[in-house]
Amino acid sequence: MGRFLANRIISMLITLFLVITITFFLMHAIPGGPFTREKPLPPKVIEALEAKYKLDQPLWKQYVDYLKGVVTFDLGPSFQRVGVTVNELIAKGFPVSAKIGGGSILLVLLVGIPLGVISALKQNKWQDQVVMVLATLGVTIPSFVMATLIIYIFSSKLGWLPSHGLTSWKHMIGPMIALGGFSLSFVARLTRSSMLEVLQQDYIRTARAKGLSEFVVVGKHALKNALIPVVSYIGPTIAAILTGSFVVEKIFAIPGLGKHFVESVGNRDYTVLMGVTIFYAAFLVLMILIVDILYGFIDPRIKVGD
Amino acid sequence: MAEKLLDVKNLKTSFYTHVGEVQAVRGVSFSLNKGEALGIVGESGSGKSVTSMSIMKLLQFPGKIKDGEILFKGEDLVKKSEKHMMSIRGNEIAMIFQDPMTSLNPVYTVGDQIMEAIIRHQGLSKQKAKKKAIEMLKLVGIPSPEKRVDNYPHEFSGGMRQRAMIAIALSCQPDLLIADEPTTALDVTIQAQILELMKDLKEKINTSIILITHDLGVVADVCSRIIVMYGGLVMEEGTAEEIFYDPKHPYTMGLLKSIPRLDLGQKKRLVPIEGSPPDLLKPPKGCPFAARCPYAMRICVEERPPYFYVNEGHRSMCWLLHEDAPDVKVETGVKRGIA
Repeated sequence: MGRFLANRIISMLITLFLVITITFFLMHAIPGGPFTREKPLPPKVIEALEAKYKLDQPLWKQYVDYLKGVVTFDLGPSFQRVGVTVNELIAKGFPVSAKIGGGSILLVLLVGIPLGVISALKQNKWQDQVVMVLATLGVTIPSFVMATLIIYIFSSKLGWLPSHGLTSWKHMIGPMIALGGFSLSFVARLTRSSMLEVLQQDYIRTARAKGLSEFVVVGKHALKNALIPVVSYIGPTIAAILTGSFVVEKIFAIPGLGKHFVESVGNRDYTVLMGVTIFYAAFLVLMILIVDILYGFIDPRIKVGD
Repeated sequence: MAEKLLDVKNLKTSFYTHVGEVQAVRGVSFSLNKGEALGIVGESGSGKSVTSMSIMKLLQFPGKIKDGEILFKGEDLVKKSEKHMMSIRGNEIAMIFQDPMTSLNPVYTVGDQIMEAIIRHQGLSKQKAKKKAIEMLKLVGIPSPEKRVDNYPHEFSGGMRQRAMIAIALSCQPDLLIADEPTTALDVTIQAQILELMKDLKEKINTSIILITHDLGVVADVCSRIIVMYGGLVMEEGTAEEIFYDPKHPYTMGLLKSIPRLDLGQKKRLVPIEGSPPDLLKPPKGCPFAARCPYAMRICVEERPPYFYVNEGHRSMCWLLHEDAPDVKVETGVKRGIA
C-alpha cells in the first residue's frame, strides 16, 4: 500500500507538471496579453506594467520563475485585481463553491443511487418509467436552462426560494439542483443499468437460495457490486462539482471559484488562469487516487498495491 | 415404506413471455424419501432446472407455478408465503448450482457467505458462526480452513469454490439438497472429487439429494433412483438399475446410446438422437418425443401416453408398453461391469 501510494503520488506530480507546462505555453501562445485593451494603453504604461509583472523577461525565465512559485505554493498576484494574490482568490472562492458542490454531491449520492436502485427493482413498471423520464430530462437539460427554470418557477412564481446570493440554507437549494442535476440523473441511469446486470448474476440467485430477505439480497449482495462503475464516475465528478461551475454561479450570483475560471481566460489574467487550472487539476488527480483506493475496498479482485 | 420427504404432484410451471406461455413443466409428479438420492436427467430445456427452481420457489419473472402441489414434509410449498419460504430456503432446502465460478459473490469473503446462512437461520453470534463456517470448510475438505475462511472467492479454484458452495448449502443441515448440475462446469478429476464429497456428506449429515444433470455417468454414481425428463414431462422413472439395464422408453434408450464409451473402440460412432426438442410455446398434443422417436406410431402423435407401470417403482410414458403395441427390443449396449 505504501509503495502504491508513493508511486501514485509521483505520477500525480508528473501529471501536474505536464498540465502546468502545457497550459503555460498554450496561454502565452494565444495572441494578446493581460494589458491588451480595445483602446490601447500608451506604450510606456504597458512597458511599465510588463516590467512590474516580469512579462518583459524571456518566456523560459518566466516559466522557471513560475515553477519556483508553484513549488512553494505561491501562485503569484492577480494581473487584473490589484493587490489580490491568486492564493487569496482560491482561498476565498473555493469554500463557497465547495459548500454548494458538497451539497450537490450529497444530493447526487443520496438521491441518484436510490432512484437507480428503485428503477432497477421496478424495471418497466411506472416507477421505473417516471425515474427514467426525469433522468433523461436531467441529462439533456443544460445547467443554465435548469438554473433559469428554477429561478423562474421557485423564486419568481412560487416565491419559495431566494433567487440569488448565499446567506442561508435556502439559498443553496437552487444552485445545488442546477449544479448536480446532470450528475444525479447520470448516476441514477448508471446505477439502474449496473443493478439490472448484477441482479441477473448467479450469486444473487445463491443469496436468495440461502433464504436471505430481498432487502439483504439487494442492499448487501447486489448494491456493492453495482456501485463499482458508479464509484469510477463519481470521483472525477466530485472534483468537477466542488470546484464550481461558472454558469450556475453566475446565474445565482454566487461568489465562488467557477467564475474565475472563465473570467481569467477572457482577461488573460495569466496567474489566475494558471492557478485555477492547477488547483482543479490537483484536485482531480487526488480524487482519482481516492477512487482507486476505494476500488480496493469495494472489489477485492482489484488489488491495490501491485 | 420409508418416510416421504418431498412429494411433487402434477407440477405445472410456465413462463408468461410476450410471445406467449412457454410451458416449461407440464405436469411432473415424483416423490423423494428421507435419505434418498434422486437423479433428474434430461437435456437442456427438458424442464429439470425449472422443476428445481419451482421447489425452491425461486422462479425468475415471468415464470409462475400454474398448478400442482409440492408437499415438503407434508406441507404444500406452493401455498406458502414468501416469508415462510425464506425460512425454508437455505435452512431446510438448500441448493447448489452449476457454475461455481459465478455462484459466489466476488466482493464478500467465502467465510462471510457461509456465515450469512448460519446467522440467518440458526441465530448464532458472529464469532460462533465463524467457527461453524471454519468447521464446514474443513468438512468439505478445504485445507487450512482457518486461513481460507477470510479469502475471497477469486482466491479459490473452481473445485474449491464448489466445495465452498456445498459448505454454504449444508451449513444448516438441510433435509433436502438440490444440486443443479453441480459438476458440469468442473474438469473431470474435480467432478469425481465433488461427487465423492456429496455422497460422503449425504451420509454424514443425513440429507436427501436431488441431483439434476444431463450426465448419466454422474447419476449412476450417486443416485439410487432416476427420473428421465423430456419436454416438460417425466418420461421414465425407475431405479438406477432399471434405467440403465432395462430402459422402457425410447428416449432413455437414446440417451444411453449416446454416452461415449471406451469399450466400443474407435470404429463405432456415437448414436445421437436425431432432431431437436419440442417447442414448449406450442407443446405437441401427443408424446413430446414422438417427432424424434424411431418407433413412433400414429397414436403417439395424437394422444399423450399414460404411465405404464413395469413394476411399482418403474414407470414409463410410452405407448410401446401398451399391450397392443408391437414388441420392440433395443440394444443400448450398456452392459454390467463396464464403466
